[in-house]
Amino acid sequence: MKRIFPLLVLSALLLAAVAPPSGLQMTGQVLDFERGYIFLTTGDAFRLADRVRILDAKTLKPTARTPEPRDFARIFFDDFGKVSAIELSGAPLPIEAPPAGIEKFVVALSTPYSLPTPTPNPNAKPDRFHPHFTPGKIVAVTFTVQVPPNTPMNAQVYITTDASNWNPQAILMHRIDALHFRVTRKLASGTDFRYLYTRGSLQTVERAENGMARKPRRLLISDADARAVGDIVYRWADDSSNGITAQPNAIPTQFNPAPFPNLPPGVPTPHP
Amino acid sequence: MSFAADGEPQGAMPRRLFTIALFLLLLVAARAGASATSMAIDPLIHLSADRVSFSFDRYTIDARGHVVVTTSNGLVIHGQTFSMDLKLDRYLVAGHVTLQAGGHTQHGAAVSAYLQYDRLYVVPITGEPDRWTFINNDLTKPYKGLIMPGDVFYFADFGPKRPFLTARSAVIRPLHYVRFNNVRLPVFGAPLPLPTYYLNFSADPNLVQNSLSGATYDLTYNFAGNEHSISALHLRYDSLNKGYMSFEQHLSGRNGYAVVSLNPATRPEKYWNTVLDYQPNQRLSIRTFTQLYTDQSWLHTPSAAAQWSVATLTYALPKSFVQLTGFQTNYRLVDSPAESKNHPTYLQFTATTFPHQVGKLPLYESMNWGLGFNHDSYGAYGIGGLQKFGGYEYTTIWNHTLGFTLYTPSLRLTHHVPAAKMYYFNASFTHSRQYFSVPHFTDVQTTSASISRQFSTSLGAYLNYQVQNVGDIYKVGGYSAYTPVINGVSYPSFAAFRGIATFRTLALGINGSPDPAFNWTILARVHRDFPKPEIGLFTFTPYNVLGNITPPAQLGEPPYDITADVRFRVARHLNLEIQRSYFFHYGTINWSPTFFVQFTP
Repeated sequence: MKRIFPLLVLSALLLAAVAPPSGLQMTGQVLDFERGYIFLTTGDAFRLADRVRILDAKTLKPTARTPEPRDFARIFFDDFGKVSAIELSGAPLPIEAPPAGIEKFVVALSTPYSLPTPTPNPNAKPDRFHPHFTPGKIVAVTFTVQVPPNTPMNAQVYITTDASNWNPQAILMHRIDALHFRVTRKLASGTDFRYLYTRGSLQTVERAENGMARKPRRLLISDADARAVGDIVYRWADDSSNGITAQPNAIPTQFNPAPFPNLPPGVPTPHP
Repeated sequence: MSFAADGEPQGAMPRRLFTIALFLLLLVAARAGASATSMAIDPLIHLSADRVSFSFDRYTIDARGHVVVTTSNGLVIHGQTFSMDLKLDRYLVAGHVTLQAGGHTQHGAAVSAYLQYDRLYVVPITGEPDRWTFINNDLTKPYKGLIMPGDVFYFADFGPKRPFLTARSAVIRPLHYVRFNNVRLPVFGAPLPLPTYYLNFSADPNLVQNSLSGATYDLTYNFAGNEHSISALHLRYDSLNKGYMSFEQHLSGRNGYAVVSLNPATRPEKYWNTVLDYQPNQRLSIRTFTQLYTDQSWLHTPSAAAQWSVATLTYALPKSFVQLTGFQTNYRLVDSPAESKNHPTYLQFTATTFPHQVGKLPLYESMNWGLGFNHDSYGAYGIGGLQKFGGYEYTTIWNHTLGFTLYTPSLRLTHHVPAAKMYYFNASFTHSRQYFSVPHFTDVQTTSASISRQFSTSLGAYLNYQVQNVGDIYKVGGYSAYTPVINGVSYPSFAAFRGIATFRTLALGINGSPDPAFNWTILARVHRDFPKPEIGLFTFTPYNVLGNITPPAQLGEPPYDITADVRFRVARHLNLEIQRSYFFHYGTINWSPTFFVQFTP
């Protein structure tokens, strides 16, 4: 018993020295660690105590490493509101908000500067879109497009977008009747979605009603639960009302006034 | 110097074409450069660090160690780490940050730039940490204490995956492109060193216009570029050329674009393609496509060369538009006896009206009219002229076309019922007749009607019936009765063909999309055509790279087919599409030749 007692006392002392203090604590991601402060990605900075213990969050043992940007940290405060210990982790830690009393230790915020609302750059700000909603909400957006009546029945229709670097087959649509195709996609609210309809290549992209190349359609996703978009394609770029379409790497065939491309061999040409 | 049969110096034609193409390219490039000056609004960002990583999944850049950011508007930022979300158009430098501008230096913990709003958010350390905001690139005036966005100093989400590439430095044009230098691109686990890697993410679709033909596989390496140009090498494979390399140059400006390509560059049979598109205003556009074919070893004198060009001028009118299209082919540009000397020319003028509602009826109509000129004095491969008829060789054929379209939008067949029980009806009718100066005309008439129903938000079906009549009708004579004999097999069913074919198709389509990341379709069709499709009589319609049959009405459609298509997301930016068709009772043809499998971003 006499032997065990000193061992227990020693263990207790060691634990007290190594174990993180209990009490006021929070978690966050490190932005910087210098000049007597630790900065978090929330933009807040906390003053360090004179002797800050840096621990590994997994082993809870002291580490020689200093906190670096992107580290995740659990921060402990002493009774004076200064940071007394920091546990470091490479992986996110469970969110622990700063306790109510800790706010007074936040070092930030000058005296508010009185000035009118700054004017954003008129050249850079999106011109037509002034979002007044929460970004990042997932919204089911249903696109329905009416295609020209001369669209082949075996055609497939796609949406090409800047989000896919204008891949002409980015979003496959489903035919719902002779003239309409539809697809539903989940998009984050706040997304500035630019898109065009194609039949699978940029040679078959939609054209404007007046036959000119059209600018990409634009849709700003609001934070509604769902959204339906209806569009009309008036014509395709390869509409061959003049009978001529250009395809790369193909020597054009000879003039053939017959509308049948694959008659059997030996069929006599028309004659009087 | 040797001379071709018609007195032209050999090789003069390709040089002349090359000069014209070069001039047009320079014109477009000059226009692109001019518009670049007026469009440049965001600063160019030069980034260097010990390690720069890029996530294709999230479109984010992450740089660590000795980060230096230099912007074209005079800002220099040093720090420990850099993070940028290319889509959100903002970046963050954190850790022992030094901000230098206009001879002033400020130390701090982090700098965050919201480029779209010209805001710079800084956590300076001046005795005590603070928060400052700089507006409109004015770094002399810090707005202290302004409320900042809550996530202004958050690192962009790089995702859990390995980086798509690593590099030592990058040049970033916000909202347009990023160009990495000293790149390591992981290929099958091994880092492939590349001098540069360019990635375009602009909203300009013209920068990705292409002039290459399809290939079974295509690996694209964009080795240079900026917001108005991309230079790319393509490593390709197709069954004809096997493995080969191609080059493509893209140029894009405010009023037009140009694409030049050489494909295949490493095979004797080369295609030099040029696409030019110029739209000086909202009413006028000019588009040209020129292809030069050469058979040459590397860049030695070609043994054969041919060229064809098509130019289309479109002019928009208030309720219609007109198009003038010219088409010129030269089958022999060098003295090659094996090649035909003919050089047909086609000119076509068309006028097309906008869709217009007929009275107050749920019916829309549009019309088109065209006049064409076709000429070839040499004739095709010794046939003589464009067409032989009645013992006369026509070297010039005029044609004119009249066509119209009638269609209904979706009409409700049921009323006062829930949406899931609603039936819709669509119908369309198109007719086009083309008269030729050779005494005949062609008719193409398509009638289509469909009934559709959406059973739920994720399940819909339609039933469509289409009849297409195609005729080539001669005022005197025409097609005579003929019974083809192919490989010893006689086909008497064709004997009734006199230049008129009928295609009838009944199609049932069902599609389901229980989740946007997963959808499927089933399409079952019955064809009843004349002439009757028989095995071996008509060549089987090949599938193109998209899995579609290209011509809308080919003779010999198998009488029954069913196609299933499943598409689902396998990664955040990667979809897998699998399609296969089955043909019933059509000789030895049952399954479609291959599964159609495609990955799309």
